[in-house]
Amino acid sequence: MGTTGLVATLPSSRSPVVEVTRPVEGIVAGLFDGHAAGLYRLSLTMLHDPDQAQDVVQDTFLRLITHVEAGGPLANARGWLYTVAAHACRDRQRGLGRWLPWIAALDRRPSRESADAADGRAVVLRAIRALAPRDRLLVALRAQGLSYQEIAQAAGIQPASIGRLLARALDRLQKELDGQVAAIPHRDQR
Amino acid sequence: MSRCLSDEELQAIADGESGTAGDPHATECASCAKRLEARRRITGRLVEAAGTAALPDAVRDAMRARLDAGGAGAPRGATTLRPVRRAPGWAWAAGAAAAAALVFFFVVVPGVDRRTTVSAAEILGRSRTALGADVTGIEVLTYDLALEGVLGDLIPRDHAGRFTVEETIDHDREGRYRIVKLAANGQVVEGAADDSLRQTRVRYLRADGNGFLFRFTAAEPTALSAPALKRALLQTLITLMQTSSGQTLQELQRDGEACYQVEIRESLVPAGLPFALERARAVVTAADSRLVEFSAAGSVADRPFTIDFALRSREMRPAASAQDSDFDIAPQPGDVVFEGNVTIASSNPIWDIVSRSLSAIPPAPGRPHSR
Repeated sequence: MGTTGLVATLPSSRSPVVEVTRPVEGIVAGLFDGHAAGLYRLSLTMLHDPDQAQDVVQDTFLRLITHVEAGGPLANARGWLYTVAAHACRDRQRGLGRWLPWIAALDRRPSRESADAADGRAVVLRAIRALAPRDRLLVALRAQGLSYQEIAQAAGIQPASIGRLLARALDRLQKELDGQVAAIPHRDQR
Repeated sequence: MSRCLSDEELQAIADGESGTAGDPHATECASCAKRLEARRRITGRLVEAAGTAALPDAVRDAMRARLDAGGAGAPRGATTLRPVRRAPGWAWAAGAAAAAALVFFFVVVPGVDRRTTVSAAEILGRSRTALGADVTGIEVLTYDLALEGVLGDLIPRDHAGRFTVEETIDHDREGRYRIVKLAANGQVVEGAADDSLRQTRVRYLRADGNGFLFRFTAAEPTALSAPALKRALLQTLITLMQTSSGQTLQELQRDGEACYQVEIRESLVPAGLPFALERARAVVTAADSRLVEFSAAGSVADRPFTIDFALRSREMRPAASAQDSDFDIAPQPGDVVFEGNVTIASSNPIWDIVSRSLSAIPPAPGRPHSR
């Protein structure tokens, strides 16, 4: 693997842009260590399939290698990675052909008697799964700690609209959670 | 007191995106403080559920391995190939716009319902389907084949290793084919030819430097022809590849033809099955999903095997061009030729050879004959 020029943006107290030359392996390895987990979580939240999520992460980093080798700009590597991964998730969702929302009444999986943290996470993930694709993408990106600007870039939405859309998406997530709680039969009623 | 904050403004404060330390109203107004707290709570639940789980080591290692394997200098690919979008520079904007219009009308519109992505499993599926597709006419294939291990043991040791095969199939008449193994000089060293039209069955082999040709008439079609066996084997192996995760996919050019290469480096076929695939590689034409290269290593009943197949040429001829000699094998000078009707009614050609060979041995008078 060759070397390439990388444009890095540093804090304003220093020179805003510097040219550094690092082997592509080093750039990719560093970004993989820093962002693979977040990209995987994003993909898993969007696709609910560990294999597909792995594929998205792999595709994203393979594209990164091509991008860096071609000397492409990478001023905001995190934003770039999440944008590519978000597009990949959307491509795969379209490929699924039909999206089946999770419906509590149809879920026949046995549940544990006592709730714990894992249960709480599972409830939220199921609620995310029931959201519309755009809402799901917005909350999944927000969950990875992306800024509004980065979310806008990854989701292809005007930055000024992110706050409003995200607030609505979270409202719908809250409603889903409330609905799931209401759908659980009370122990005395069983 | 200032006005109450909107949901958007409260969300921005909860997300640290309000630009300042936050609107003081959010703390002064009990209603807004409660709403802000609710937003922080749902955001916190979201982050905790979907944003904090650590990447399992096994998943991380698997992805790193796949990326390492896909580094520069090595074949690179993912399980899915998608067209790479590159933004044109401003200088190219006008030309790009014109090209985009042409592409839209001549490519996008006619293919609006086509899928823009193709996965490794999908390519393998198409290839498997193409192997069994209905074709008409005479097909002549020339390919290199190498069988080792348990598959190589099925053929005489002298004939194992890498060899060139010429295969002629009449797709309009079942049981009409010729498959011969060729030496480097083009001489036939082993072969089989069945002609269901003439009811002939020919087998050829060489042993100890001598050629033996068995030609039978009034023969029933064989239960399973050699091309059908080969096709079934390849279909089985491709199906095993489909069931494996960790497929990588890349585009390549083979003899000027666009192809897809699907590769697996480890198979996740469940343990306990008699057939296991350890690694495999298939090259499939992009245009018509023909399998042009295939290599695999695995085991059958815990006995290892390898197979290596590479298509050299393929020719399709009209059915009317078929000649009797296309489905026959001619004897070479010095060959021993056995000819006659089949003596045991069977669709298994082995019985023909055995019975014809035995009948050629003169009976010994008075006592058992041994050689």
